[in-house]
Amino acid sequence: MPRGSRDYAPLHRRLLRTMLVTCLVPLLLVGGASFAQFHHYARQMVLDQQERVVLNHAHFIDAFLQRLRTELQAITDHYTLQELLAGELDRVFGVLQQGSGVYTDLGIIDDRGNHVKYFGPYGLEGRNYGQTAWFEQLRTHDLVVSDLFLGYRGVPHFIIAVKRRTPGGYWILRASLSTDYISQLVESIRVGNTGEAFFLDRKGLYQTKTRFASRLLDPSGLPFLDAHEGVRSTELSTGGRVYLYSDVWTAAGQWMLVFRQEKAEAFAPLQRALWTSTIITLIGLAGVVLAALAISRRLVRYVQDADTKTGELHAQLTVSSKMAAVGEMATGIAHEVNNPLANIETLRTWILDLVTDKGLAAEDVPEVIAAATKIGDQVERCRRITHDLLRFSRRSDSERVSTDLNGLVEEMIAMIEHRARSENVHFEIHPDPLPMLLLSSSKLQQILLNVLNNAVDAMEGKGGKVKIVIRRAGNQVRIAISDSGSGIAPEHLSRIFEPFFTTKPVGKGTGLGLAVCYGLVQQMGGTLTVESQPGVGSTFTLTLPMQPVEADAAARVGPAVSTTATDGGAVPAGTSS
Amino acid sequence: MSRPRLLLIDDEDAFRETVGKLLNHRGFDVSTASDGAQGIRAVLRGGIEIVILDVKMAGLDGIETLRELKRIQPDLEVIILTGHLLKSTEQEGLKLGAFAYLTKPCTVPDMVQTIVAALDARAQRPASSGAPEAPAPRHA
Repeated sequence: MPRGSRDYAPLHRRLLRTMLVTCLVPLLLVGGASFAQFHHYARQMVLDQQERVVLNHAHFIDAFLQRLRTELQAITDHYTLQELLAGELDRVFGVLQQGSGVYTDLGIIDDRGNHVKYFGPYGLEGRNYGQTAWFEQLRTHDLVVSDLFLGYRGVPHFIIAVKRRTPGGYWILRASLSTDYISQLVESIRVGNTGEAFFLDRKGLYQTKTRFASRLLDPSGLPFLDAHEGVRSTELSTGGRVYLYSDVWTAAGQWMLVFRQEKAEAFAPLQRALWTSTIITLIGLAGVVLAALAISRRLVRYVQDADTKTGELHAQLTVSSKMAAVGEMATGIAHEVNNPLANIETLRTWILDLVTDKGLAAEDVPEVIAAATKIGDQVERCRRITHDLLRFSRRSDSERVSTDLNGLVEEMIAMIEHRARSENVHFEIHPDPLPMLLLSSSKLQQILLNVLNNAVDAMEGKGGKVKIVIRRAGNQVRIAISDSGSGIAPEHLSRIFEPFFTTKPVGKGTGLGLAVCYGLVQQMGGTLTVESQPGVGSTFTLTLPMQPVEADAAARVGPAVSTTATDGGAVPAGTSS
Repeated sequence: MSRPRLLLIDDEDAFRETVGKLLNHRGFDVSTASDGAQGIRAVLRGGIEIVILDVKMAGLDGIETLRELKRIQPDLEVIILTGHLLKSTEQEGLKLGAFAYLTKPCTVPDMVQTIVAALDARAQRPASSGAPEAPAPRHA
């Protein structure tokens, strides 16, 4: 019999959800963790590279300044002040320019700050530097590299000054350098579209031109001018853009070499790698989702197939159980049929006695008529029994038909009564006025017959009472069947609906009856429960959803009613005995 | 010559009535009982030679009645007559000392033949104490 088409959508959704969660969560966790790790290392790599650039250039600057210092010190070592003042300075400048060509001018300053000799384009001979910062510094240092300044010439430059001590005091060789050379040095550091390097002095003023806008000696406004060892990296937001800065103090702590690059650009390769991995991850996710869809669909189909097979098996089981019920009934029915047959036989013999002994005497005619009438009664009794049997076996369809529930219960009791009466079991029925209900009467018959049969069996031949209470409860109808039998042991109670579970002697019960009932009740959308107390009795409660037949549908008479109707209404159900 | 006294124990009124008439007609003195307890009381009153006993009855069933009858009067011959066709019932009945196991429907000649055979068996047995004399029945 076809199983009610079950809705597999919730199962499908549940499967899909479970699979997606179990697959995606680890994937996303691994993905997220490796993303974070990758991001960390990539950032480290970018910064390392940037710091290396800064450090290399700082070393180069230091080396460059060292070279200038060495050159200038060489001059002060090899020439006397007199020689230089006498005109050697011009020659020396020529030699220097041939070498590195970085000097703008060269001059000699005495210990009072007077520019006593000058060679260069600005004509600065005779100027006094006594008040300048670098001159002040030279009082305590042998070498000074100045910040960038405009000085007397009004052009940005910086100077390197070397002090030469003499027995009577000291004199100073001062070289000024155009900013061009230094600028070129740092300005050559160009990475991508935004990467650049520049020098700041200790006050944060630009010592070299930057790639964008800033002019020399403008304040940079950068906040990291504190003294520190080695290279340091900072992330800073300027003008709505985020920059990565790496800085290092150079020129003996005089200048800070700063490299900066816009973070977005610095991280662009990282970003590209991320995009690639994101796309790969997305493809992976899509794959997982598709696989989950396919697998869950296949699983659901598998479950569906299994359910169909179970349904078929159940249908077979129902049929076997029905056959078993019929078999059980056959014994009782044979007895019931044999009794009227015995009556018929004895009545027949009695009529023969009356007729053959002395010929039919007039006074014996009423006796013969009475005997013949009794034969008719006995035939009617047989007919009723066979009809009951036929009615039960004929209704195998699971179609829902308009059913009089009270009548159907009484009908089933009538079938059992043949057997129950001889076992001294009485039925007590408490009907409830119910409308005609739409239900599968053939299923309900089989359920009732099984439960009622069990109730009679429970008396174990000692006789007793079976009480049947039909009650409407909201939109459900409840049929409680209580017997006064032996009851069910607690350890058996939980297994009572299991297939092939039986406490009856071998050959007496198939163990299928209640299992099949349970299945049938479920198919009808109802429940079957049992309560029992050993020695007192058991109550089986069948609860079914109540669906009254609508007014127009009631006009169409279903098979449950029509079967009774074709009986000619001669025998009201439930009065057979 | 007194007619052999039979007791028919059956819970069905129609059957008791007709069989009673038929066996009376055939020369037996038939009394009836509608259940096991009534039957046992009738036997205790004395004079019953043969009991025809149904099995499926309310109250005391045929097998229990048989056991009780054989206990109180071992030489009583009991013929089981039932519509119950179970081999196990038949075996149990015979084991308890029933003379025969007849199944319904059975013909009246078969029934009479079995009753006569039972009376013969009873007659051939050495007379036990207190057992009434078994006169020959009039055959149908």
